[in-house]
Amino acid sequence: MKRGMHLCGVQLKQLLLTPTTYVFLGLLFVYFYKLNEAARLLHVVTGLRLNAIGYTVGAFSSNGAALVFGLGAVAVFSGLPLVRENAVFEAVRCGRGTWVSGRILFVVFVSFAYTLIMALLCVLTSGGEVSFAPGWGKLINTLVNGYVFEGIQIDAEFRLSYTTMYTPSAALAITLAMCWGAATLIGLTILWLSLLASRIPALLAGTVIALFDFIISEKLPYWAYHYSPVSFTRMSIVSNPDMPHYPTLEYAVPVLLAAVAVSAALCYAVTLRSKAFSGILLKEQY
Amino acid sequence: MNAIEIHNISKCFGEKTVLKDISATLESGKIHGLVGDNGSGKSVLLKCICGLMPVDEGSITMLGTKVLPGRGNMPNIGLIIEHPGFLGELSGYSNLKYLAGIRGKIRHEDILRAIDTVGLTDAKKRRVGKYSLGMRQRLAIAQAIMEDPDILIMDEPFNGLDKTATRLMRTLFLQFREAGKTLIIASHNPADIDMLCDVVFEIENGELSLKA
Repeated sequence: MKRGMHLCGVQLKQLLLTPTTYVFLGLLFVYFYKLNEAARLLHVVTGLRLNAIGYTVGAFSSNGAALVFGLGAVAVFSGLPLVRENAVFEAVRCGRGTWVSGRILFVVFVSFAYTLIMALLCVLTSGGEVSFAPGWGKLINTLVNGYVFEGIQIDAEFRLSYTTMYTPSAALAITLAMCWGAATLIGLTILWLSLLASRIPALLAGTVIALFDFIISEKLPYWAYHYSPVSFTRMSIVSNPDMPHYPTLEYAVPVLLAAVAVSAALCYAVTLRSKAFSGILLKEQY
Repeated sequence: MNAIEIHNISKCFGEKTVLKDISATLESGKIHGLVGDNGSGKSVLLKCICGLMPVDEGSITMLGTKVLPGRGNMPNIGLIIEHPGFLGELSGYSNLKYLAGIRGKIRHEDILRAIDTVGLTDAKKRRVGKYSLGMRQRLAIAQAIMEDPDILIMDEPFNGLDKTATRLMRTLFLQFREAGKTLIIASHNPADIDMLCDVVFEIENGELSLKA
């Protein structure tokens, strides 16, 4: 584990030294700034401030944010399996198990950081009040009931179901936990597929997972949400008893955990049992 | 104890057999040379020995332990490959520090000593991306020797080195032999092989033979 942490730490450092990381963060900032334009306008029109924590839950519950979140995760993990120029020197010093543990830890840590940064950007650009009070606030409670302030359309999905069941902080914690799980699942899927086959099918699979929520909303029946991990990040889906075809949180949590565990096991299995490791390592080296 | 025992190994790439039923015993405390034409399979044999590449048939034992490609911790070997790769955005020292951290058995001073041995002290803080070919090669040698390995496996270790550096490295390798280490050197240069090696193997058409 210690060696795995060491490998993971260096990969994280590499990620921080890559200029593309900062370009990507800039793009996310622009996305949330534009997304939250209506929320800031609402403050100007009504003179009331949104609960930024609660608003973030609603924003993450929207179809568009889920799509950006999923595709963003694919972009973040597009470099996997992170075979760099020094891979051979790395490989003679550690076994396959350690090597893949380092990559899995990298996926878990980066997913966590990615989720937190997304939430932070949403909170900061919402123009709302950061409050950990149990109430959702006057504005959100009005929006839940479908009221539209002077034609301002907010790109967030608020539902009476979750606003009555959870406090904003609890709802955000659930959202972030599910986002962390979904991003980890996307990363691990890309990892084991890139080791088994190559990066192209791996990224395609990651993209399919990311797009599935959007495809369901456009073309497929609602029960398909049961098979879409990115949809589990939306409180409007997993906490919506009015829609019996939607998955519940009690279903989504164990399914997501099981999917992450299976993906991690596949990463180990592919690395330990096939010739993929040597093949990838030497192919990328020369 | 024999340092390396190779038992009837074969390796194919598609239809092409690169190593054909090769067997050899490499004794401890000697410098072994490996010569052969381009594409004869020298590098493949070295990669199989150090566990980077699985063999199709046969087995390899290193210091009494069977080599299972990448399954567990490798025996204490130092490796120099033909085109050494490092992280270009990090300094020479940082590259070695990272690699040393994987095994976690040496300290800061040991890394500095290895850098000093290959004559890179002045350039240790410079980004590897700015290193010349010869400096990269020296850094590769430093990474191979820094953890005091029992076996040094080197594919074209004199690539890109000038005369002074080549002399320095030859002396270093001879010192390693004096210290009881086992070395394997694959080289195109007959002078290196003649000057350094106690035993020379030739690989031709996938078959290994002891050179007279």
